[in-house]
Amino acid sequence: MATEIKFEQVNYWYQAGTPFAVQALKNIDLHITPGSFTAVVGQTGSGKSTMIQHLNALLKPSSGTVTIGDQVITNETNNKHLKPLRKKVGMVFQFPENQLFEETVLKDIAFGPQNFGVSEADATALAKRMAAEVGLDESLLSRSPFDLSGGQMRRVAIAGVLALEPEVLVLDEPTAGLDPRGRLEIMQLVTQLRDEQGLTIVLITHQMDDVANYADHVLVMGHGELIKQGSPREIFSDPKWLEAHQLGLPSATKFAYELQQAGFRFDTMPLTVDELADELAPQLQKGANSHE
Amino acid sequence: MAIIQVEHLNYQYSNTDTKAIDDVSFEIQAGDWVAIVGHNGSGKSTLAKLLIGLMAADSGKITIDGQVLSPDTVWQIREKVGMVFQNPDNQFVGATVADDVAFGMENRSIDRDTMVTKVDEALKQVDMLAYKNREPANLSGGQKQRVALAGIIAIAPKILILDEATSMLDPRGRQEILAVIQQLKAQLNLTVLSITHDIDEAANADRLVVIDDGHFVEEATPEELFSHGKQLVEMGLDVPLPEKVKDALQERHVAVPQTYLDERGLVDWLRRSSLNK
Repeated sequence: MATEIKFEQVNYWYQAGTPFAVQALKNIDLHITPGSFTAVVGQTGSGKSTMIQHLNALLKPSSGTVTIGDQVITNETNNKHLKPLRKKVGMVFQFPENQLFEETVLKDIAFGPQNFGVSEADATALAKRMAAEVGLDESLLSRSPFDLSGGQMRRVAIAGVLALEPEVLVLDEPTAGLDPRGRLEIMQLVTQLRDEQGLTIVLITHQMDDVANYADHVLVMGHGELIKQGSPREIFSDPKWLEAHQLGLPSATKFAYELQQAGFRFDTMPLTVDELADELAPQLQKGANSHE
Repeated sequence: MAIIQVEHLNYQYSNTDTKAIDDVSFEIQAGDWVAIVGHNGSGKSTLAKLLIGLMAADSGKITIDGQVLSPDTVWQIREKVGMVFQNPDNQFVGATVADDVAFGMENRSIDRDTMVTKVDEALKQVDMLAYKNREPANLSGGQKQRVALAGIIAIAPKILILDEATSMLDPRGRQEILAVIQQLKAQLNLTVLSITHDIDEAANADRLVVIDDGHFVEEATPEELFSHGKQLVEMGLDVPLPEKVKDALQERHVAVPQTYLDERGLVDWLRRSSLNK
């Protein structure tokens, strides 16, 4: 059964009940549909990380309810019943390579399922399958994970989470610190997991180009509140609002606004380079050349 | 005058079969901003570590500000070089922002009164004076890198090395830091060596040195290099937006100029080619 996630009036306080209590989430209502690709954006400290930790009950709401599949999580929910959720919703944290620890790549990937009671033989078979899934060459499996490049280590970490066979994959800035090729490869992998395996994707990112290129739903967080949600087109249709909330535009959209000042017309504001070129080409002389 | 001179440098990590740096030579003139680019694992960071003597080269010669790098000169040379690393969290030692900025000066046994004034001056230059008594851990990524820069300003080095110093920042934080560095470079006549795979950071440089698999590949201006289009990805750089737009227009049968255009240049060209006049 596909896992649906619903937040109703979720509040979360760090150090609740102490003089240091800080409210990190305020009255969050949201809905993540199975098979969707949701991007979560917002400045550092806006509550993004706190919010995603509710997606598999690493944090329980101080008040309100989080529904994950058929399980309802409230402040009173007993921690004992949460283990199946952790399997259903896989989390890839920032710099997941810091969590690698085993002697070999294969053992590292197989660690998770064994922790959930899968036999060593089955976990190893599963690990091999997941390594192939994320594009790790078989020759790497017997190597130490620490001898791999940054992009490869991140793949190992993602494979380790996929080995739990989750239905929802949550990734917190999975491309931070990678070079452009590494970034593209990780984003292609994530898209492929959604398209081919039907995984639901929740991606925290600062890269508005990634939001435009890959997401179908966007959640904008600010000061602990969900301040806007909608399709990328809806979110990026109001540059003044984005500017006021210190958020950027996709590079193609930003460039299109500059072109608008220069007299070009756009029926719909482009979000990607291809959309930009589609709108521009008919407005240009076909033989146009700068070397007149 | 060349402030950094690298001649036939070689380095191999002990557990590997290939050289991480293979016969690399280049020169950097005083007051220039040079970016070293290359994909992850190309040898960029190894090169930076060799330059400040964190590791010793197997062979070759490094001359910095007229001094040949050796175990005898390494400490004098490091006084001339400030370095900002990728992850700001790994370089904080002080309990407050001010303590952290003072740390480099403490190591150089500068007296307390001078230190107090210099900390304030340095924080002012990066626009972080208001955060003087805050805990570094509670700052944003861009603010942390500005504090790291203040620590460097306080010791007034001749050379600033940035080792992927903007890669962890969001676009806004990155622009902030690059603007601060441009300003410092002009004020202090700094030589800047930035190791990067960020296209915006590379665009700020006067010249780019491309490294691949430990080899020196080419040296070019940003304009020359950016005209390589899609090949840039192999060099560890992103393709600049104007090049992406030109490619996409070409696919739609629009004849586009072959030379590199920055965003302003592309707007001008598009305007000249527009049918909506």
